[in-house]
Amino acid sequence: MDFKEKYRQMNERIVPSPAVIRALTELPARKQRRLGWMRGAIPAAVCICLALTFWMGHGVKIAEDSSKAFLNNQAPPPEAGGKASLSGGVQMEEKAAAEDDAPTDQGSLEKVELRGGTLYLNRKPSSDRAETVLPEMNTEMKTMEEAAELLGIPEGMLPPELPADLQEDGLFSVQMDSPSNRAEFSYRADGEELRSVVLRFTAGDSLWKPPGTESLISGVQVWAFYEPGLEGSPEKYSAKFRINTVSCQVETENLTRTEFTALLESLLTGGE
Amino acid sequence: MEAQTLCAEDCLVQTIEKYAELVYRLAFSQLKNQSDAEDVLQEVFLRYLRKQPAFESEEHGKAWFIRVTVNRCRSVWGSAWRRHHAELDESLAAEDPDYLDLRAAVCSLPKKYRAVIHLFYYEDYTTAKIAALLRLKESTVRAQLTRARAMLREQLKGDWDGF
Repeated sequence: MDFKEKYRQMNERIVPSPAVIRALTELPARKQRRLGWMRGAIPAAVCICLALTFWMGHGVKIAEDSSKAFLNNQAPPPEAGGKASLSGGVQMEEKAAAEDDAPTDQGSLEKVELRGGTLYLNRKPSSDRAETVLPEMNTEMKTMEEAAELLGIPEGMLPPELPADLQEDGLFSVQMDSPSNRAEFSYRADGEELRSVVLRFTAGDSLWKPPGTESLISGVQVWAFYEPGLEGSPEKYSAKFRINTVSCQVETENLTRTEFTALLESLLTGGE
Repeated sequence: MEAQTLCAEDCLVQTIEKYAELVYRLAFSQLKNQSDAEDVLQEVFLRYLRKQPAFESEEHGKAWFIRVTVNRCRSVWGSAWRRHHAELDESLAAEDPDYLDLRAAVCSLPKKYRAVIHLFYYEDYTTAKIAALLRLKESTVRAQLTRARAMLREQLKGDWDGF
Protein backbone atom coordinates (compact mmCIF):
# COMPACT_ATOMS: atom_id res chain seq x y z
CA MET A 1 0.00 0.00 0.00
CA ASP A 2 1.40 3.38 -0.90
CA PHE A 3 1.59 6.38 1.37
CA LYS A 4 -1.33 8.17 -0.23
CA GLU A 5 -3.71 5.27 0.29
CA LYS A 6 -2.58 4.74 3.85
CA TYR A 7 -2.92 8.44 4.64
CA ARG A 8 -6.39 8.49 3.12
CA GLN A 9 -7.52 5.48 5.14
CA MET A 10 -6.16 7.01 8.31
CA ASN A 11 -8.06 10.25 7.71
CA GLU A 12 -11.30 8.51 6.79
CA ARG A 13 -11.49 7.42 10.40
CA ILE A 14 -11.35 10.97 11.64
CA VAL A 15 -14.90 12.27 11.85
CA PRO A 16 -16.50 14.86 14.09
CA SER A 17 -18.67 13.52 16.84
CA PRO A 18 -22.45 13.46 16.27
CA ALA A 19 -22.90 15.82 19.22
CA VAL A 20 -20.80 18.46 17.51
CA ILE A 21 -22.70 18.04 14.26
CA ARG A 22 -25.99 18.34 16.14
CA ALA A 23 -24.73 21.51 17.85
CA LEU A 24 -23.79 22.92 14.45
CA THR A 25 -27.24 22.30 13.01
CA GLU A 26 -28.74 24.16 15.96
CA LEU A 27 -26.60 27.23 15.34
CA PRO A 28 -29.31 29.30 13.57
CA ALA A 29 -31.82 28.64 16.35
CA ARG A 30 -29.25 29.52 18.99
CA LYS A 31 -28.36 32.68 17.12
CA GLN A 32 -32.05 33.65 17.13
CA ARG A 33 -32.34 32.96 20.84
CA ARG A 34 -29.21 34.98 21.51
CA LEU A 35 -30.56 37.95 19.57
CA GLY A 36 -33.80 37.71 21.52
CA TRP A 37 -31.91 37.76 24.76
CA MET A 38 -29.86 40.74 23.59
CA ARG A 39 -33.02 42.68 22.87
CA GLY A 40 -33.75 42.55 26.60
CA ALA A 41 -30.14 42.96 27.66
CA ILE A 42 -29.59 46.34 26.05
CA PRO A 43 -32.31 48.17 28.03
CA ALA A 44 -31.16 46.34 31.16
CA ALA A 45 -27.58 47.52 30.60
CA VAL A 46 -28.79 51.10 30.13
CA CYS A 47 -30.74 50.89 33.40
CA ILE A 48 -27.69 49.53 35.24
CA CYS A 49 -25.50 52.35 33.87
CA LEU A 50 -28.04 54.97 34.96
CA ALA A 51 -28.27 53.42 38.43
CA LEU A 52 -24.48 53.35 38.76
CA THR A 53 -24.21 56.98 37.66
CA PHE A 54 -26.77 58.02 40.25
CA TRP A 55 -25.09 55.95 42.97
CA MET A 56 -21.64 57.35 42.24
CA GLY A 57 -22.97 60.90 42.32
CA HIS A 58 -24.50 60.18 45.71
CA GLY A 59 -21.14 58.79 46.94
CA VAL A 60 -19.34 62.00 45.99
CA LYS A 61 -21.94 63.98 47.93
CA ILE A 62 -21.22 61.90 51.04
CA ALA A 63 -17.48 62.53 50.64
CA GLU A 64 -18.05 66.26 50.38
CA ASP A 65 -20.20 66.22 53.50
CA SER A 66 -17.47 64.34 55.33
CA SER A 67 -14.92 66.99 54.30
CA LYS A 68 -17.12 69.75 55.58
CA ALA A 69 -17.54 67.94 58.87
CA PHE A 70 -13.78 67.82 59.32
CA LEU A 71 -13.32 71.45 58.49
CA ASN A 72 -15.91 72.21 61.14
CA ASN A 73 -13.66 70.63 63.77
CA GLN A 74 -15.54 67.37 64.03
CA ALA A 75 -12.64 65.05 63.38
CA PRO A 76 -11.65 62.30 65.85
CA PRO A 77 -9.06 62.98 68.60
CA PRO A 78 -5.36 62.63 67.83
CA GLU A 79 -3.40 59.45 68.23
CA ALA A 80 -1.19 59.17 71.25
CA GLY A 81 2.56 59.37 70.78
CA GLY A 82 2.86 62.46 68.66
CA LYS A 83 5.32 64.88 70.06
CA ALA A 84 3.36 67.81 68.84
CA SER A 85 0.37 68.35 66.72
CA LEU A 86 -0.92 71.02 64.48
CA SER A 87 -4.54 71.88 64.54
CA GLY A 88 -6.99 73.49 62.27
CA GLY A 89 -8.58 72.65 58.99
CA VAL A 90 -5.73 71.58 56.82
CA GLN A 91 -5.11 71.93 53.17
CA MET A 92 -1.91 70.47 51.91
CA GLU A 93 -0.84 71.13 48.42
CA GLU A 94 2.37 70.93 46.56
CA LYS A 95 4.40 74.01 46.09
CA ALA A 96 4.10 73.62 42.38
CA ALA A 97 0.36 73.91 42.50
CA ALA A 98 -1.11 77.14 41.35
CA GLU A 99 -0.62 79.49 44.22
CA ASP A 100 -0.46 83.24 44.22
CA ASP A 101 2.36 83.94 46.63
CA ALA A 102 4.45 80.76 46.54
CA PRO A 103 7.13 80.16 43.97
CA THR A 104 5.92 77.71 41.37
CA ASP A 105 7.64 74.99 39.45
CA GLN A 106 6.65 75.51 35.86
CA GLY A 107 7.59 71.97 34.91
CA SER A 108 4.81 70.29 36.76
CA LEU A 109 1.45 71.03 38.12
CA GLU A 110 0.76 68.43 40.70
CA LYS A 111 -1.62 69.01 43.46
CA VAL A 112 -2.18 67.11 46.61
CA GLU A 113 -5.09 68.28 48.64
CA LEU A 114 -6.13 67.04 51.98
CA ARG A 115 -9.50 68.14 53.06
CA GLY A 116 -10.64 66.69 56.28
CA GLY A 117 -11.79 63.16 55.99
CA THR A 118 -11.33 62.92 52.29
CA LEU A 119 -8.11 62.88 50.44
CA TYR A 120 -7.95 63.82 46.82
CA LEU A 121 -4.83 63.39 44.81
CA ASN A 122 -5.04 65.25 41.58
CA ARG A 123 -2.09 64.68 39.37
CA LYS A 124 -1.86 67.20 36.62
CA PRO A 125 1.57 67.48 35.06
CA SER A 126 2.13 70.10 32.44
CA SER A 127 0.47 67.87 29.88
CA ASP A 128 -3.27 67.34 29.81
CA ARG A 129 -3.37 64.24 31.90
CA ALA A 130 -6.60 62.94 33.25
CA GLU A 131 -7.45 63.84 36.77
CA THR A 132 -7.07 61.03 39.23
CA VAL A 133 -9.26 61.11 42.26
CA LEU A 134 -8.31 58.69 44.95
CA PRO A 135 -11.01 57.04 46.97
CA GLU A 136 -11.91 58.74 50.19
CA MET A 137 -9.59 57.63 52.91
CA ASN A 138 -11.00 58.49 56.26
CA THR A 139 -14.68 57.76 56.15
CA GLU A 140 -13.42 54.28 56.71
CA MET A 141 -10.10 54.63 58.49
CA LYS A 142 -7.25 53.10 56.54
CA THR A 143 -4.11 51.69 58.00
CA MET A 144 -0.88 53.50 57.33
CA GLU A 145 0.12 50.81 54.88
CA GLU A 146 -3.14 51.07 52.97
CA ALA A 147 -2.89 54.85 52.83
CA ALA A 148 0.71 54.67 51.71
CA GLU A 149 -0.22 52.19 49.02
CA LEU A 150 -3.00 54.46 47.79
CA LEU A 151 -0.65 57.41 47.66
CA GLY A 152 2.29 55.50 46.29
CA ILE A 153 4.42 56.35 49.31
CA PRO A 154 7.25 53.86 49.78
CA GLU A 155 7.21 51.78 52.95
CA GLY A 156 10.33 53.44 54.29
CA MET A 157 8.51 56.75 54.41
CA LEU A 158 5.98 55.62 56.94
CA PRO A 159 6.47 57.18 60.37
CA PRO A 160 7.52 54.43 62.72
CA GLU A 161 6.17 53.75 66.14
CA LEU A 162 8.25 56.00 68.33
CA PRO A 163 11.06 54.05 69.94
CA ALA A 164 11.59 54.76 73.61
CA ASP A 165 15.18 55.92 73.19
CA LEU A 166 14.19 58.44 70.56
CA GLN A 167 11.59 59.89 72.83
CA GLU A 168 14.34 60.60 75.30
CA ASP A 169 17.28 61.87 73.31
CA GLY A 170 16.72 61.79 69.61
CA LEU A 171 13.41 63.52 69.52
CA PHE A 172 13.26 67.21 69.69
CA SER A 173 10.28 69.39 69.42
CA VAL A 174 9.82 72.36 67.27
CA GLN A 175 7.48 74.98 68.49
CA MET A 176 6.23 77.96 66.74
CA ASP A 177 5.91 81.11 68.78
CA SER A 178 3.94 83.03 66.31
CA PRO A 179 2.14 80.72 64.01
CA SER A 180 1.18 81.93 60.64
CA ASN A 181 -1.30 80.35 58.37
CA ARG A 182 1.32 78.87 56.15
CA ALA A 183 4.07 76.34 56.52
CA GLU A 184 6.30 74.72 54.03
CA PHE A 185 8.08 71.41 54.13
CA SER A 186 10.43 69.71 51.81
CA TYR A 187 10.10 65.99 51.72
CA ARG A 188 11.03 63.00 49.71
CA ALA A 189 7.78 61.63 48.48
CA ASP A 190 9.17 58.91 46.28
CA GLY A 191 12.50 58.32 47.90
CA GLU A 192 14.40 60.14 45.21
CA GLU A 193 12.97 63.47 44.32
CA LEU A 194 12.91 66.27 46.86
CA ARG A 195 9.59 67.97 46.81
CA SER A 196 8.13 70.92 48.59
CA VAL A 197 4.73 71.14 50.09
CA VAL A 198 2.88 74.09 51.43
CA LEU A 199 0.64 73.61 54.39
CA ARG A 200 -2.04 76.14 54.79
CA PHE A 201 -4.21 76.42 57.80
CA THR A 202 -7.41 78.13 58.56
CA ALA A 203 -6.52 81.61 59.67
CA GLY A 204 -6.90 82.24 63.38
CA ASP A 205 -6.54 78.61 64.45
CA SER A 206 -3.86 77.59 66.83
CA LEU A 207 -1.45 75.78 64.59
CA TRP A 208 0.97 74.29 66.99
CA LYS A 209 0.19 72.55 70.16
CA PRO A 210 3.01 71.85 72.59
CA PRO A 211 3.38 68.20 73.50
CA GLY A 212 1.13 66.96 76.19
CA THR A 213 -1.54 69.56 75.68
CA GLU A 214 -4.89 68.69 74.28
CA SER A 215 -5.14 69.27 70.63
CA LEU A 216 -8.07 71.11 69.19
CA ILE A 217 -8.29 69.00 66.13
CA SER A 218 -6.36 65.99 65.07
CA GLY A 219 -4.72 65.92 61.78
CA VAL A 220 -1.09 66.85 61.79
CA GLN A 221 1.61 65.29 63.87
CA VAL A 222 5.27 66.07 63.51
CA TRP A 223 8.27 64.19 64.72
CA ALA A 224 11.82 65.31 64.30
CA PHE A 225 14.67 62.89 64.70
CA TYR A 226 18.33 63.29 65.28
CA GLU A 227 20.65 60.47 64.42
CA PRO A 228 24.27 60.87 65.48
CA GLY A 229 26.80 60.07 62.80
CA LEU A 230 28.09 56.52 62.96
CA GLU A 231 31.51 55.42 61.72
CA GLY A 232 32.28 58.64 59.98
CA SER A 233 28.88 59.16 58.47
CA PRO A 234 27.44 62.62 58.95
CA GLU A 235 24.88 63.52 61.49
CA LYS A 236 21.41 63.19 60.17
CA TYR A 237 18.35 65.08 61.06
CA SER A 238 14.99 64.18 59.81
CA ALA A 239 11.45 65.21 60.40
CA LYS A 240 8.45 63.11 59.74
CA PHE A 241 5.05 64.56 59.70
CA ARG A 242 1.79 62.88 59.36
CA ILE A 243 -1.49 64.32 58.40
CA ASN A 244 -4.16 61.89 59.33
CA THR A 245 -2.94 58.75 57.63
CA VAL A 246 -0.67 60.46 55.15
CA SER A 247 2.99 60.72 55.94
CA CYS A 248 5.85 62.73 54.55
CA GLN A 249 9.45 63.05 55.53
CA VAL A 250 12.20 65.63 55.36
CA GLU A 251 15.83 64.67 55.72
CA THR A 252 19.09 66.47 55.68
CA GLU A 253 22.63 65.36 56.30
CA ASN A 254 24.62 68.52 56.07
CA LEU A 255 23.10 70.72 58.70
CA THR A 256 23.84 71.04 62.36
CA ARG A 257 21.08 70.46 64.80
CA THR A 258 20.69 74.17 65.36
CA GLU A 259 20.58 74.84 61.65
CA PHE A 260 18.11 72.10 61.12
CA THR A 261 15.89 73.29 63.94
CA ALA A 262 16.03 76.78 62.54
CA LEU A 263 15.17 75.46 59.11
CA LEU A 264 12.24 73.52 60.41
CA GLU A 265 11.00 76.46 62.41
CA SER A 266 11.43 78.64 59.40
CA LEU A 267 9.47 76.17 57.34
CA LEU A 268 6.75 75.97 59.91
CA THR A 269 6.40 79.71 60.02
CA GLY A 270 6.40 79.91 56.28
CA GLY A 271 9.89 81.35 56.09
CA GLU A 272 8.53 84.79 56.25
CA MET B 1 -39.02 35.53 8.68
CA GLU B 2 -39.92 32.03 9.85
CA ALA B 3 -39.62 30.71 6.28
CA GLN B 4 -36.23 32.38 5.92
CA THR B 5 -35.03 30.76 9.11
CA LEU B 6 -36.22 27.35 7.95
CA CYS B 7 -34.48 27.81 4.61
CA ALA B 8 -31.31 28.93 6.36
CA GLU B 9 -31.48 25.87 8.58
CA ASP B 10 -31.97 23.56 5.58
CA CYS B 11 -29.09 25.16 3.72
CA LEU B 12 -26.92 24.93 6.79
CA VAL B 13 -27.67 21.25 7.30
CA GLN B 14 -26.76 20.56 3.68
CA THR B 15 -23.57 22.57 3.98
CA ILE B 16 -22.63 20.81 7.20
CA GLU B 17 -23.15 17.43 5.59
CA LYS B 18 -20.98 18.48 2.69
CA TYR B 19 -18.11 20.25 4.42
CA ALA B 20 -18.01 19.35 8.12
CA GLU B 21 -15.71 16.37 7.67
CA LEU B 22 -13.43 18.30 5.35
CA VAL B 23 -13.08 21.10 7.89
CA TYR B 24 -12.72 18.77 10.84
CA ARG B 25 -10.03 16.62 9.20
CA LEU B 26 -8.05 19.59 8.06
CA ALA B 27 -8.28 21.18 11.53
CA PHE B 28 -7.35 17.89 13.17
CA SER B 29 -4.34 17.45 10.91
CA GLN B 30 -3.22 20.94 11.88
CA LEU B 31 -3.98 20.97 15.59
CA LYS B 32 -3.56 17.26 16.40
CA ASN B 33 -6.22 17.66 19.01
CA GLN B 34 -9.87 16.65 18.92
CA SER B 35 -11.13 19.48 21.14
CA ASP B 36 -9.34 22.19 19.22
CA ALA B 37 -10.46 20.70 15.93
CA GLU B 38 -14.08 20.73 17.13
CA ASP B 39 -13.71 24.33 18.26
CA VAL B 40 -12.40 25.28 14.86
CA LEU B 41 -15.22 23.38 13.19
CA GLN B 42 -17.81 25.33 15.15
CA GLU B 43 -16.14 28.65 14.55
CA VAL B 44 -15.84 28.03 10.83
CA PHE B 45 -19.54 27.27 10.56
CA LEU B 46 -20.42 30.18 12.78
CA ARG B 47 -18.51 32.38 10.38
CA TYR B 48 -20.32 30.77 7.50
CA LEU B 49 -23.63 31.50 9.17
CA ARG B 50 -22.71 35.13 9.80
CA LYS B 51 -21.26 35.81 6.35
CA GLN B 52 -23.69 33.66 4.35
CA PRO B 53 -21.27 33.61 1.41
CA ALA B 54 -22.76 32.82 -2.01
CA PHE B 55 -20.65 30.10 -3.61
CA GLU B 56 -20.35 30.09 -7.37
CA SER B 57 -19.59 26.39 -7.45
CA GLU B 58 -18.93 23.45 -5.19
CA GLU B 59 -15.22 23.94 -5.71
CA HIS B 60 -15.54 27.56 -4.65
CA GLY B 61 -17.35 26.51 -1.47
CA LYS B 62 -14.73 23.89 -0.68
CA ALA B 63 -11.93 26.41 -1.19
CA TRP B 64 -13.72 28.91 1.08
CA PHE B 65 -14.00 26.37 3.88
CA ILE B 66 -10.38 25.28 3.52
CA ARG B 67 -9.17 28.86 3.53
CA VAL B 68 -11.21 29.80 6.62
CA THR B 69 -10.15 26.62 8.43
CA VAL B 70 -6.46 27.24 7.77
CA ASN B 71 -6.80 30.83 8.96
CA ARG B 72 -8.66 29.75 12.06
CA CYS B 73 -5.98 27.15 12.86
CA ARG B 74 -3.34 29.85 12.54
CA SER B 75 -5.27 31.97 15.02
CA VAL B 76 -5.36 29.06 17.44
CA TRP B 77 -1.59 28.62 17.13
CA GLY B 78 -1.08 32.30 17.69
CA SER B 79 -3.30 32.47 20.76
CA ALA B 80 -1.61 33.20 24.07
CA TRP B 81 -3.09 30.04 25.57
CA ARG B 82 -1.63 27.86 22.84
CA ARG B 83 1.76 29.56 23.04
CA HIS B 84 2.01 28.89 26.76
CA HIS B 85 0.65 25.38 26.91
CA ALA B 86 2.04 22.19 25.51
CA GLU B 87 -0.43 20.35 23.32
CA LEU B 88 -1.62 16.92 24.34
CA ASP B 89 -1.26 14.68 21.35
CA GLU B 90 -4.40 12.72 22.08
CA SER B 91 -4.68 11.36 18.57
CA LEU B 92 -1.86 8.93 19.34
CA ALA B 93 -3.53 7.45 22.39
CA ALA B 94 -6.62 6.11 20.67
CA GLU B 95 -5.05 5.40 17.32
CA ASP B 96 -5.38 2.12 15.46
CA PRO B 97 -1.97 0.43 15.74
CA ASP B 98 -1.86 0.15 11.95
CA TYR B 99 -1.74 3.91 11.63
CA LEU B 100 0.20 4.76 14.76
CA ASP B 101 3.53 5.19 13.02
CA LEU B 102 2.04 7.15 10.17
CA ARG B 103 0.13 9.46 12.51
CA ALA B 104 3.23 10.00 14.62
CA ALA B 105 5.30 10.77 11.53
CA VAL B 106 2.77 13.25 10.16
CA CYS B 107 2.31 14.89 13.54
CA SER B 108 6.05 15.35 13.88
CA LEU B 109 6.11 17.50 10.76
CA PRO B 110 6.27 21.27 11.13
CA LYS B 111 2.83 22.93 11.14
CA LYS B 112 3.15 24.50 7.73
CA TYR B 113 4.03 21.17 6.14
CA ARG B 114 1.06 19.35 7.63
CA ALA B 115 -1.46 21.48 5.75
CA VAL B 116 0.37 20.95 2.47
CA ILE B 117 0.56 17.19 3.01
CA HIS B 118 -3.10 16.96 3.93
CA LEU B 119 -4.31 19.01 0.99
CA PHE B 120 -2.05 17.17 -1.44
CA TYR B 121 -2.58 13.59 -0.31
CA TYR B 122 -6.09 13.68 1.08
CA GLU B 123 -7.88 16.44 -0.80
CA ASP B 124 -6.02 15.71 -4.05
CA TYR B 125 -5.18 19.30 -4.75
CA THR B 126 -2.39 20.19 -7.11
CA THR B 127 0.51 22.25 -5.87
CA ALA B 128 -0.77 25.22 -7.86
CA LYS B 129 -4.17 24.96 -6.21
CA ILE B 130 -2.63 24.54 -2.74
CA ALA B 131 -0.51 27.63 -3.39
CA ALA B 132 -3.64 29.60 -4.22
CA LEU B 133 -5.48 28.30 -1.15
CA LEU B 134 -2.67 29.00 1.26
CA ARG B 135 -1.62 32.19 -0.51
CA LEU B 136 1.88 30.94 -1.07
CA LYS B 137 4.06 30.74 -4.13
CA GLU B 138 3.77 27.46 -5.97
CA SER B 139 7.54 26.97 -5.68
CA THR B 140 7.22 27.33 -1.91
CA VAL B 141 4.52 24.68 -1.80
CA ARG B 142 6.63 22.35 -3.90
CA ALA B 143 9.62 22.89 -1.65
CA GLN B 144 7.54 22.28 1.45
CA LEU B 145 6.10 19.13 -0.05
CA THR B 146 9.55 17.83 -0.96
CA ARG B 147 10.91 18.54 2.52
CA ALA B 148 7.88 16.99 4.17
CA ARG B 149 8.22 13.85 2.09
CA ALA B 150 11.90 13.58 2.97
CA MET B 151 11.05 13.89 6.65
CA LEU B 152 8.32 11.27 6.36
CA ARG B 153 10.64 8.90 4.56
CA GLU B 154 13.17 9.34 7.31
CA GLN B 155 10.54 8.82 10.00
CA LEU B 156 8.85 5.83 8.40
CA LYS B 157 12.12 4.24 7.30
CA GLY B 158 10.80 2.88 4.05
CA ASP B 159 7.63 1.28 5.46
CA TRP B 160 5.70 2.76 2.57
CA ASP B 161 6.60 3.75 -0.90
CA GLY B 162 4.87 5.90 -3.42
CA PHE B 163 5.26 9.30 -1.85
